[in-house]
Amino acid sequence: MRAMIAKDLSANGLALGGLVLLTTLAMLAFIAQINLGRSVLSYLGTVTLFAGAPAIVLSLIVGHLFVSSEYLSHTQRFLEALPIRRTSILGAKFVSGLGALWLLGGIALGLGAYAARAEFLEPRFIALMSARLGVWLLFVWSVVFLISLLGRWRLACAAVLGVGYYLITLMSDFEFSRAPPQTLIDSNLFAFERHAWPWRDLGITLILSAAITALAMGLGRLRDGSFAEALARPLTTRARTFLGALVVVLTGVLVMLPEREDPVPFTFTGEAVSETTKVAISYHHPAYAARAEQLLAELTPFFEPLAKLLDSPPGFRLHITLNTDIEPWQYFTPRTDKVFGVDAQANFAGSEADWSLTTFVAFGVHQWLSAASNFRVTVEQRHWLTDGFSLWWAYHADQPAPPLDGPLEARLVEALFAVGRRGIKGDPLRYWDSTGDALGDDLAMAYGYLGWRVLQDAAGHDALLRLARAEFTRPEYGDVRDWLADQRHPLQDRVAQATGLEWSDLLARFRAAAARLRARDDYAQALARLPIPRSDIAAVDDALIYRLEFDAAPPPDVHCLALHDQTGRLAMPMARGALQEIELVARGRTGTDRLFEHRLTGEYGPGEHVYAAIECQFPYLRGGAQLLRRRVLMP
Amino acid sequence: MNARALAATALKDVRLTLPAVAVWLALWAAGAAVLLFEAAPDERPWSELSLLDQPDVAFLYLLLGFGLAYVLLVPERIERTVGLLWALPVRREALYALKLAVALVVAAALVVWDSASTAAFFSFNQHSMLAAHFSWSELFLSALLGWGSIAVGIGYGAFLSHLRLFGAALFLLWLVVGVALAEFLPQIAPLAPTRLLDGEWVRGDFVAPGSVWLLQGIVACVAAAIGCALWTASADTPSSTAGNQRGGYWRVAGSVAVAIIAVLAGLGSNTATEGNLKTHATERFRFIYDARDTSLAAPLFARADGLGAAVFERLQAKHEGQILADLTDTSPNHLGIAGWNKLRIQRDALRESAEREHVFVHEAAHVAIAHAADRRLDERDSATRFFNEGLAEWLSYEILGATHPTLLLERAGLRDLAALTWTRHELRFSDLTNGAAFGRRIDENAVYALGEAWVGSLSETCGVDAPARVLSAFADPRGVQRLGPRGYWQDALQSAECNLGTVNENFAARQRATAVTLATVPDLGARIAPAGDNYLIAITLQGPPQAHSYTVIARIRDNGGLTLPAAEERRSGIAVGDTIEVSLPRGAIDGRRLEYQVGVVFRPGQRPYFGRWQSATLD
Repeated sequence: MRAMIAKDLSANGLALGGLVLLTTLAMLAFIAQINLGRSVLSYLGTVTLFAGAPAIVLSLIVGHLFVSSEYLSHTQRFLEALPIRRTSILGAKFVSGLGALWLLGGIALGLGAYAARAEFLEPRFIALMSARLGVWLLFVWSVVFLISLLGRWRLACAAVLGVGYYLITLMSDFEFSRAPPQTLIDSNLFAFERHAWPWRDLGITLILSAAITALAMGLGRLRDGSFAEALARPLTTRARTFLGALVVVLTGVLVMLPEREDPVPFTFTGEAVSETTKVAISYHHPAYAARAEQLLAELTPFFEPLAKLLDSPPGFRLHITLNTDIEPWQYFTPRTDKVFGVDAQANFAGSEADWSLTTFVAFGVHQWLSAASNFRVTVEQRHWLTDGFSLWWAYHADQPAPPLDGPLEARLVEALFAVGRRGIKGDPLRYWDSTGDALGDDLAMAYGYLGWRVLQDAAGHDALLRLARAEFTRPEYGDVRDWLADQRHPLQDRVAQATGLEWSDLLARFRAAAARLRARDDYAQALARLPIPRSDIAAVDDALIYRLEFDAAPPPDVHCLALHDQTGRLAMPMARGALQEIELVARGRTGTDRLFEHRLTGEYGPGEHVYAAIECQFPYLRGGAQLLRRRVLMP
Repeated sequence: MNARALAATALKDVRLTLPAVAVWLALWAAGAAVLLFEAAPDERPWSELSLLDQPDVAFLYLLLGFGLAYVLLVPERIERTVGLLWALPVRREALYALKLAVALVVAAALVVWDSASTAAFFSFNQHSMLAAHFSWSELFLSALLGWGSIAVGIGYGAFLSHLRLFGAALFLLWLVVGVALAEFLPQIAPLAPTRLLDGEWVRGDFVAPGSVWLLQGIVACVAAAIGCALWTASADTPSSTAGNQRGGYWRVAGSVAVAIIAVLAGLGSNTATEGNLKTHATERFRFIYDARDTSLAAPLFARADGLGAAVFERLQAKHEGQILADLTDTSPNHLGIAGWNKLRIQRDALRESAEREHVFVHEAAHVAIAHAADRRLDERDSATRFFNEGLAEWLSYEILGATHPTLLLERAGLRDLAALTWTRHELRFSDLTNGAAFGRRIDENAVYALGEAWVGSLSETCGVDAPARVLSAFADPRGVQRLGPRGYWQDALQSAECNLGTVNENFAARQRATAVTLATVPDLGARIAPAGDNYLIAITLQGPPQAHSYTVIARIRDNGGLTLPAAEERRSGIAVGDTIEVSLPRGAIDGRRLEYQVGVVFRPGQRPYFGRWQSATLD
């Protein structure tokens, strides 16, 4: 056996020299990286870097050199002709390969320890690290030894093992990083645990290694070694093709599998909580209890029927957390989930003048629909339905709206104002993100709302609810299946199916209704009363200059904001909630000023792309009206 | 005859490239599957598909180039068919050139396939705004750069494939090391071939990294020329034992030489060993210190066990054995650093009694936190860093405040900094739980102040033992580990019987109240412009007139790079309303895009308040 080991080592000595060089270079690279980072807790951490992927790759090379190549070139027949037991041949290969790997591991540990020579390396600590690394390498080698006996199938087997590891990590709660053998090279412990011997981890790893090695020995001896030899025969073209296809398919399956997501166990704790089955409010302090109860009473009539209409899951709720750090007109959603619903933050305890229940309900409905659909309802061709329905529900819930040709409604003034700014040419509903970009979020919702009113007038209230149920309860996956479903059954067809209204007919009715309403005296007068200023945004030197000029001093309830944010080189739809705000025209101010200007200096550097907009709140209009938006390149 | 022989050889060579082509197509298929199953194709923006926005793809292109060269040059030698080639009436150099030409043509075909499929995939996008992002010129440019990257890989492969699998491993190592080196030392970025696609968008136009292309182009050409010499100089029976032996000896000798150089050059610079090291053991700690620091370290030895016990008791953490306390650190980046059972403290931090104990307790707290949370915080570092640092800071003030009143003043300054940062940057909790982005956007050191204040709110809202309960919740293996940052925190606080919203509300209210008292701290205005070999940053302090002056700081770094600044300058005695110009070297930045930031020391001896990092493109 000794002679066999010597033969293996001498035959592969040159290659082994190359592996020694590779190990040295790899360790040098790791140490250099730590030196460059200039935050060193221990240079011994480099050994765990080596023990991961590099050690596995090196062991595969060793397996190829010491085992596979022998079978692939059929030189094992010469060995089998010798008067020694087959077990001894395999044993010698196992020992020589393990010795080679331990040599490389020893070099890595030696170099790491040399770099860490100022880190108080007592013998017990060195012994601990050696045991961890040695047993880990034994395990790696036992697996590679087994794989190496699989001849032409060894790479496929290694790939399957890798895939299995990935799948288990992805799909189960099992944490490889916290179980032996991987704990032996845990980067948090390897270089820092100086006292406790990981007997359990070492023991389990040794048992695993012994079992795998025994399996390998059995495989090597199966049918007097002819099985291993048969595996080493070159694959036919058909087999190669099959193998290649298998790898591709496996890879495809792997990437298709979504990462498992745990249901989010989300509940408000403590006493400062008001809740019903579909709405929960956390208000933190008893002082806000009455306001929270009032809000709960206001919201429940909207969200209970919505949940019923859409068959929302039992645990799906609108969770609202009071956040007094934001303005009453600002809401945001830190988290949404298909199981637990919406986690929203709002300042409902702030100024009543700035709080709009309708706007908040519309926001909540929008988030509800988005969460339930993996946000597929916000894809451009469907977004107008979502926007319009959110506001429609915030105004009417499950009750029918009055006919469009009835008395003047303030909410339609806003919609007509939006129509006036965007126009009705082309297909503003299909190309909704352009419409939204031109109008801003609130006006876009009003525009979409008019679309739902037109639908109701044309098809009736029941058809409207049927459309909402059909559209917002579709199964959504967040991948190509959603797109395929939309291709098979386009939105236009779905609208026609639910309401009996063809898309072209809907657009024609929309244009006709908008034109008819705008022509009515009452609406024309209401629109004319809006104190719309002339607006401008310019980039000069390092400043963004916002300018608003009213014909006369605006009423005190006019409130305008300058919005801005850095953007990329390509024009993308901007999320209103992400924009930074500057007050341009303060609410409740007095005075006769009709010209307002703000110079935003030094916020953006030269050559940067910036999104800038002006948004005002006017009497008669529910939300903020975006008057101007520009994408500018700072000079 | 020569032409026919060359044509036949070329066809045979094309067949030789099939394995590399197959692997590439498999990767392409996997990539396409990822694209299709990550999101619906009608929602994918162009920036996620364009090669010019995915510089990391250079890594794959280089590997493809290497693979093409490998499969064309190596099997001929292994299977001894090279002898047949030599028998053809064609010069060996021509055969070698033909192989490289075939590799380039196959590379071009693959790039065309790649580009065409990208364009086809984007055609699914019928978004009214996003669909307009596509540009043929950008697609052509990306195809050209992709092809060039493969060509560079072919050059490397032509040379290194002579060393077969060892050369492949060496090339892989070079790519990985190149990435790391270029990250930490932007000045040597051209050495890293993986930077080939790492260009800059300058006013809407893509500017390729010229220096990288120049250097890598030269290296690839030289490598290909050496590869030619090696390949054509082979004996007629190149796989003969003697030839292999000679090559093997050469490899071994080279290995040993490089290993020795590596050890001497790379590992010999451990500055910590320059001094005379001594050790001292207490019940809980084993100290390593420089003999020159004996008088500074000795008082710490006397107090260490008591302080350590207090830390572990407050966090309800269990620990056996000694913790290694290394007092010899010389890093310019921090005062201390800690992990499982080990902490390091910078020598400079030993000089003053309060700071010495502050840093010691802070780092000991990190050790205790690792034990109490069973190392879970390290696994979710970005989401928990503010808590990890904040808790260590909070604990050190709680434990040492009574002994060192100066630390209470320091804590007040830190709370002011937290309030300023929170209110002026209009932060939200989600900013804290995205530590990586926070460091890139504002100041990674601000998490100490914000974290300390947040832990203060946690303990006031949910009890003084709440931090320990939260750590225990993190450690619970039944805890949900697959949540996003917000859910992770909500779950942990629920388990600790605490309401995240209430803690955040109290925290924000405190920051607002404190910020009101800091209205006089000036705002910072900055403007940057190039000036010869320097950048000039004009800094203006804006705010109500005041009698005293401030110290301001200006710093720059590479755009989108590390959080650490590349250059920094401080100026003192600046009054509100003044505008000063600070000069920083252009050489610190690679390319035309950079980020700059200004800060102000609003209280002497305290940490500065920084504005956000701003981007600029300067010609």
